[in-house]
Amino acid sequence: MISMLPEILVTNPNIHIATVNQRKSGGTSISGDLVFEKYLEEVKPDLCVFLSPYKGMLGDLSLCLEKGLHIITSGPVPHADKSFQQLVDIVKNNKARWEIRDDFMLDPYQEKLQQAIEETDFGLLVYYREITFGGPSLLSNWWRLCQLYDKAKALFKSEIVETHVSANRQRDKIQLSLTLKSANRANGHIICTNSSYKSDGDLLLIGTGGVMTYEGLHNGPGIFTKRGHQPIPSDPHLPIMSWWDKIIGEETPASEALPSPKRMGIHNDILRAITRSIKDKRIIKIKPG
Amino acid sequence: MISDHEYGVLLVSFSRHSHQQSFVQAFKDHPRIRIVGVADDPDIDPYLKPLNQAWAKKLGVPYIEPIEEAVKQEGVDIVSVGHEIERRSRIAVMAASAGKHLWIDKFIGANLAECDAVVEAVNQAGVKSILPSYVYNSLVRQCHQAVASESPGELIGIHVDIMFNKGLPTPIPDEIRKPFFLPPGRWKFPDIKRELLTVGAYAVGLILGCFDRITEVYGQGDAYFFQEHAKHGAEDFGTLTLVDENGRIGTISAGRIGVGTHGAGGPQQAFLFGTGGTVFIDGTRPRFDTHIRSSILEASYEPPHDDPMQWASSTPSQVIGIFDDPMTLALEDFIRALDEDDAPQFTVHHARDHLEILLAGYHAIVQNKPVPLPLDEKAVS
Repeated sequence: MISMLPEILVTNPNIHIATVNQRKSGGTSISGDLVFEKYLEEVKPDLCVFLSPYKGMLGDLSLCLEKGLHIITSGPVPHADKSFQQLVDIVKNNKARWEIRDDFMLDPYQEKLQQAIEETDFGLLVYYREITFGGPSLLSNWWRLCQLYDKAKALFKSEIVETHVSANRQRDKIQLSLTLKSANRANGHIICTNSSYKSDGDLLLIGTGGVMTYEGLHNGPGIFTKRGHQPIPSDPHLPIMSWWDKIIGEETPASEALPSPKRMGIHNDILRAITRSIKDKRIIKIKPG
Repeated sequence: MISDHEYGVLLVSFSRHSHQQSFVQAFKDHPRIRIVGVADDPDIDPYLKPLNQAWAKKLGVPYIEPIEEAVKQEGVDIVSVGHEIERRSRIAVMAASAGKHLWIDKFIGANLAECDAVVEAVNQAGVKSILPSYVYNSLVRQCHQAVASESPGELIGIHVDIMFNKGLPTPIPDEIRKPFFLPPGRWKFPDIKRELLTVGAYAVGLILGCFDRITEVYGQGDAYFFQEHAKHGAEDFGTLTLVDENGRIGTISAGRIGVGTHGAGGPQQAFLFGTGGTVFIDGTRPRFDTHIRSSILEASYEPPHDDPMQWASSTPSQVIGIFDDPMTLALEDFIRALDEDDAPQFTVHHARDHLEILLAGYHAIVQNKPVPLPLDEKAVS
């Protein structure tokens, strides 16, 4: 289940998850009143994990890096090319570290799914389609789209050679879609929306030997109330804590102080294409990097 | 006042490239329909004349050649066109010009010019027309019901998966693959159908009924299940992405994916994304799910040797659908339209726009880029 408000996780070394609020006067505050810089001074974290994207995140990220902190973002950070170079300089000058770790947002059943593909006569993957609730905002849905883009590469077992972006906004509701083609001729559709739906969504895989599906609607308990049928909500922090246990259990830290520019590049190309598609009402092709 | 006027129906061809035989029962069952003849032209494939004659005998009606004479017969009110796509426009124009109403299986022409000719003939003659295949099935009816309920709010987008689990795929060696994708225009093959057209058409029909004017189409079609399709460079599976003039996004996956891959004949589902919420519709429901021991333990199924792609045969299923027969619903709508001088839900006018979208999808695959609508066929060819 995706949290409806942006969140960060800090360790000092106690783990604490805090909500980020957009301040009317600009900037962000943490769990109500504390502006971000004051929050860092009070809590003195040794690690800050940005769990969800928000407007103004780049500024807060820069602040953390200037203080020499280890930063993890659970997705890409929207930035102009010039801004990325500035971040590179900040990391180097302050001996900071910035990783993108989106593994906890990936499908918790992905390993089982890939195992099932290997162990049955599923054949070659022809089509991957995933539809999911991507959180409340355009940025959170963009993160989800990027995460599933990386998931698609893993399922295709091949690089993605063609990406087309379509995006629509009606009032405060958005739909983002990627149309994918892999080097080994598989096709894909990824659709993320902030229209009400389940965050573990709907998956369809079609192979030359069969079909596999995951239907979020049927894969969890539900309750009938006077308001109708709805899923029984789960704790949105459980997957985060499970991921955290996995992270701190790792023996070998990531060797790079900065995320891969190529990976950052495609993710930001997707965001630029989303903005353009909404504005122009067109299908936008992303040129391969 | 309830009319008791009986409409005479002429069945033009039982070509295996069409579905005339799937209309017959609905025609026979309706008290206001009388099948009056079977017709075709002399220059047809060798298998077809004996097949047409066998049907004529079975139905107790005359077999008439050529079509041009058959459509002029007294007692023919409706012409049911079930021929190859490449012949349909000429037949429809002949029938409309003879003042006969049209019941046409799926496409009305092989290209936009042929479609325009049919629309012009229908407009000139003032006859009624219907394409019964696209809007009376469970998936489309439930989608329309959801949209009409206003529960999803304003539509932002739709995704549709429609697949037939028919045919038996075999591994495809690289050396037999055609090195390029076959452009649109030829639809009749002895061993394959173009499945973005054949199956994707249902999804396009659904989206056409829910969106405003489509302005851009992108398609992909280079992933194959069947050797037969790969040899021709003609898709057995494809995807489309559509955008309408208000920015709504439609995405489609469609094709023939091989027997035994789905308990209900293949996925038939739609997701409607709206400002009020997301609707999921499974077009194979309502249904009974059946798990019969003998059908699983004793399964040794193969597609029929005379119908390997299963154009006319169905595959074993583990469900029993509980919904009204789409052909019966289509016929009811058509008779109502005839009685009341109204239009049914899907006419040749809709069919023309429908084919334009599919053609744009094909051109997008060939050109590897989105194609704008209205489609300029000369510019994209």
